[in-house]
Amino acid sequence: MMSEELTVYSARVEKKIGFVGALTALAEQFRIHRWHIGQLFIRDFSNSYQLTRFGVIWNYLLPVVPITVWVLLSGLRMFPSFNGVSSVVWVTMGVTLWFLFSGFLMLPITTVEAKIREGSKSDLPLIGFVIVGYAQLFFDTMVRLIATAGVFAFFQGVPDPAAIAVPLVVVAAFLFFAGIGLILAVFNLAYRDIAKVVAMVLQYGMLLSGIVFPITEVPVLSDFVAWNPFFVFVDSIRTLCVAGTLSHPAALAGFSASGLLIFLFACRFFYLSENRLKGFS
Amino acid sequence: MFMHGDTVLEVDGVSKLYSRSPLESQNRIAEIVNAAFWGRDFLFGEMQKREFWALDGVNFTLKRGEAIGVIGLNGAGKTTLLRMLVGQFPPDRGEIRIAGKTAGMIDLTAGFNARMSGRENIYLRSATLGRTKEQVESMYDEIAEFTELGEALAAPLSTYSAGMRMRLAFATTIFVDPALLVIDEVLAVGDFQFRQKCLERVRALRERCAFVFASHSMTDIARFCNEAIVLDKGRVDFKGEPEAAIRHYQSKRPRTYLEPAHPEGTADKLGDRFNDEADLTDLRYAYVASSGVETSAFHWNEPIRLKVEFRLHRPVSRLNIGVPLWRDGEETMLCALSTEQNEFSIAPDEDGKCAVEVEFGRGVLAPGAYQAVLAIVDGPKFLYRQPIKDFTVERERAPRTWGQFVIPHAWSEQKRNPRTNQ
Repeated sequence: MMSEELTVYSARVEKKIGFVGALTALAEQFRIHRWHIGQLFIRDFSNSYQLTRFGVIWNYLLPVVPITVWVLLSGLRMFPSFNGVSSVVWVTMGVTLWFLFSGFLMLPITTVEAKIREGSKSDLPLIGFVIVGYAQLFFDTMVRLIATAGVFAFFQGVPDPAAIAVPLVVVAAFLFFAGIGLILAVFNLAYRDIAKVVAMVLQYGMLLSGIVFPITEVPVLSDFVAWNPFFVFVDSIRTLCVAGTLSHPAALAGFSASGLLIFLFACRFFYLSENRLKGFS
Repeated sequence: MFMHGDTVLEVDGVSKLYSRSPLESQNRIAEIVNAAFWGRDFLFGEMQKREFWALDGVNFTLKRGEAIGVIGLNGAGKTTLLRMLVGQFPPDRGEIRIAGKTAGMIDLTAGFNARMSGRENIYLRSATLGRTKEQVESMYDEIAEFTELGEALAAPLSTYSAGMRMRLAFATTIFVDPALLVIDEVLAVGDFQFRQKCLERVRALRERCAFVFASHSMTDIARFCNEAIVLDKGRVDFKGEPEAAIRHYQSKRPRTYLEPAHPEGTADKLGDRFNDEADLTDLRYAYVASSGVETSAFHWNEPIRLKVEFRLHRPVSRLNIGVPLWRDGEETMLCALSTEQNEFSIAPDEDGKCAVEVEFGRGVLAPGAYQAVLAIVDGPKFLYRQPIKDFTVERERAPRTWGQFVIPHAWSEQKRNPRTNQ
């Protein structure tokens, strides 16, 4: 046998790999291809504003536009304040978190569907394209976060010290929604209706998750909020920042734990499926 | 799993299933996804109605320094095989084992972005090829110099001509040092000088690594490979010496498209062969001497007459008969005679028959052997294009000549006027 590395392309599926092994393999793919991922992010980032007169300003402006719409409506007193929290703050935080969490879910689905062909002609594994998408989502969220922090400081003052735990909740939400997103992304290649159904569900989901108005005040819906992961994660962060408490700790713990399991399963499923699905588009 | 000696590539019973129906492909994806989700083995069940094996049980091995050519008609499975060799998608049966790095020259412009500059595209394309930032930075100057694009590298790719894009793509891709090099069709791009540079680079690589090359150019297959396989409907139909493989391939090709008779020789300079028997039949031609006798040997100062007859089975609007000429052993076309050039119109008779004669060459062609092609074209459509019989211009009784032909010319002497001294 030669001393060089041996590459094997086989019809056989690498079934022996475990959950942690798959997660490690995906992380290794990220490490190997991190420069390529960076190049693609730069490409997409600069493509989005090229040939415009205002240039890169659009990349900072567009992410905050949806927030400004809701803030404008709140400013016109379209939404009530809740538990002493200004409706502007309520809506700004809600919309920022909604875009982040729905992005965690939707991005893998749309990215894998769009990039499966490009992925077949590139050295970059599909997970790399998903990470490029997440990098753009991260940038947009950072821009929104600055706007949200400004609104919070202006209308609400200083956040509660317990807000330091917010990143943990965000990570838990990421594991939960990204895990589901990765699983659905693979299934969506076989059943193309999935992307459309998820998009449709998210349209209703924004209204049913207490993003722009306090859903706990709506009699019929308030009984079910603890079963809605979007509501649980968004509301946990809001209450942590405003009051320093968790509104639904048990539900949050449940979704966080299940999120970890879902994410591990999703990583293995995605890793095992990816190689077999290359070439289909 | 283990590879011995200098073996770089082992292709072991490799097969790939495709479907002509998108719905059937979706069903296959569903089977794969469901199997992966439940942790089951994925086994191909019954073949669907429109499924077929794009590759079926392909086997071969390749050692360092060896080059294998892959020949086949469009759809024979050449590109599918090559894409699997570079890992773009997996086989559905069998296994491919490669010792060392692989570089593929397939879809040269894949990963390019029209809005980004040439320089940025070198980085982007390199990333697509799996290079690290450090590797690209270390080879950037070499790539840029190879492209010969100079300051144009700072301009967006959208401003490039097709030739400039190919230069950039080729240069970015060719700077590799793999154990296995896989090339689909494109050995060289650009103008003559740039093509020479590309070929030189490919030749240097071919000596260092194992080389898999798919092409429709039989000359390139014969020139670069020491073995060839002929793929037919996904199966290896023939494997052996390139010349034998080419002969086998040509013997199986449809009659409307014939390959050169001497793929490794000068015959390829004569270009594509075409004979559409649905549109043109009963073709006869003959070289005729001034005596009226058929011949293929002419005296230097004798007119060469070529008579051509054929029957057309389609209405024609702009019939043109062309006869390009080459001197034996020379790659460059000497000249081309055509009815269009002389504004000579041809009208078929009621039965579609045409008969023309062209006279040329008296005292013009230098002694030697000549090759010619007869091309019959209606507007842009070729009806017939085949090499015809060689002819010679005899040296006997010919004055001493230099070069390939003598252009009509006359000498005169200018005497000085003693009065004016001019």
